[in-house]
Amino acid sequence: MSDCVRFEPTIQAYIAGDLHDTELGPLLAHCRNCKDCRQLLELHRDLVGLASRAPEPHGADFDALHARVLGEVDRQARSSRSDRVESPARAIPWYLPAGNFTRAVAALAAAVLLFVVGLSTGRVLSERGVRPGNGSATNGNGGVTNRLIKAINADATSNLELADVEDSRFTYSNVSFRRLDGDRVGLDFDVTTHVQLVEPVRSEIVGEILVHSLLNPSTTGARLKAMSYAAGAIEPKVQEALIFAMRRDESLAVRIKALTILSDQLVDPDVERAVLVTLRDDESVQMRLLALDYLAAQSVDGDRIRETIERSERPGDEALMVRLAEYENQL
Amino acid sequence: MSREKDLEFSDRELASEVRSDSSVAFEQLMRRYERLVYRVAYGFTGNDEHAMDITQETFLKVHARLDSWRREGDLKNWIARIAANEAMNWNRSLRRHPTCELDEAAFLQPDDPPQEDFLLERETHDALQRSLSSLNPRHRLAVVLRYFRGMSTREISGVLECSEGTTRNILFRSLRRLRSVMTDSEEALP
Repeated sequence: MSDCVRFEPTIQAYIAGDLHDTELGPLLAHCRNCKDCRQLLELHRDLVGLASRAPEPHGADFDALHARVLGEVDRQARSSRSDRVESPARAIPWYLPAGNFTRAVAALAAAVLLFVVGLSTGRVLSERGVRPGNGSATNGNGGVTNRLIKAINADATSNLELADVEDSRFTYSNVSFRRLDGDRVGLDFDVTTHVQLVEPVRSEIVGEILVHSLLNPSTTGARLKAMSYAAGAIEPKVQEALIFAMRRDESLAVRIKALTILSDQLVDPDVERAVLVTLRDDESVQMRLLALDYLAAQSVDGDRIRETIERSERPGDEALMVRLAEYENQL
Repeated sequence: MSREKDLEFSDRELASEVRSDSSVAFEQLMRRYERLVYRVAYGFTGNDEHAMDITQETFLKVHARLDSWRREGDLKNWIARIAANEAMNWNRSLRRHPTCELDEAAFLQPDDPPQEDFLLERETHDALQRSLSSLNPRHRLAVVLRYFRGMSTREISGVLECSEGTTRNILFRSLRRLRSVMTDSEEALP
């Protein structure tokens, strides 16, 4: 037993994960003869095992959770704002004389607030136009979302007439149900639908969707496809999206494609600066070598390139310096 | 990588943005601590669905109470404590309103290949989870942070607001307590 007391700090360090290798041998030797201490180490091992089997939620699960929390926060904020509409009038004691300045100011403030709230409520109601019980959205895009809910309701109603077929234009994901009071259910879900349009090449909607498809976390293939189209339609907004993709996209293929497209725009100082940053910061040596090739091909000042590489202190700097020296010798 | 780190907002900056009603900042804050909160919740409940619900409730509480966060304190520790409180409330409410959980073992067919490993693992899992509930909340939080979040004693002492030595002692005493609860329950078997 006295041995156990002696080994207590060692076991504490072992459990805390701070045990030095040299102390492990004597501890294990003690545990061979001491059931109590051996059980403690086994329990430690079981707990490590238990924790390692704990499920790891997917990013999409957390995305859905964020949406629910933000929706609820938004709902609470709106409800507290509407509560505050009444508060100025209540804040003035009833016994103040009718002509009192404070009371007049409060009444005026309340009137203005009521007018603003009335105006916005009117707008929301006119945007919604859905019958009671059809639900209301909490994602901040009330009008758009409620038009969508109306369309989903129309599909659901027409599906009621079909015996065993579900025919919908919409796809639902990240669905969760919450039972609420009063025989109601809270629904959270993402909904997607497919749209086909023919639009002029330079239209705003084409630019908007192109920029979004360059930046959003769609598949790598979809981002590359959008880039192929972007090569023929470089506008300031698209160029900005391409620079972002070149700097930040997680896929090397997408970053290389963005760099290749932007290499034709190197006369633009913004693009030149972004390519220099890529040369300095990108985690891929291949990407940095390509950036160097494009900069050298555009005759960007060799000293500036050298200075940029010297500032990076990343693996691959040596290869870049060799390639730069080759270019300088050619010149 | 360090440049990316430089671009990140500190907890204090994020909290200040959240106080100014920035939902983007709050989402960023949730992203930063979602796995910590989930792990604490899972450690306290042993159930992933409950853990997700507790995570949601925790972040709602964090948002509502951010004004009361002492700025000199560590936001991560404050959030971990809220998560632990939420999880304990959740467990208390479950005890008051017990629900029926699906038993995976009940779905095993008689013709299925032997599932001893599965059942044994589950038995150990359940026994450990049960014994964890015998710890007092502070000790249980220390164990959860150590094992389910892999925190060092230094980090745990930040959450528990005590010294590293005390944390080590809490972990040691917790494991001794768990061992004695598990031994007692084994001895009680017919």
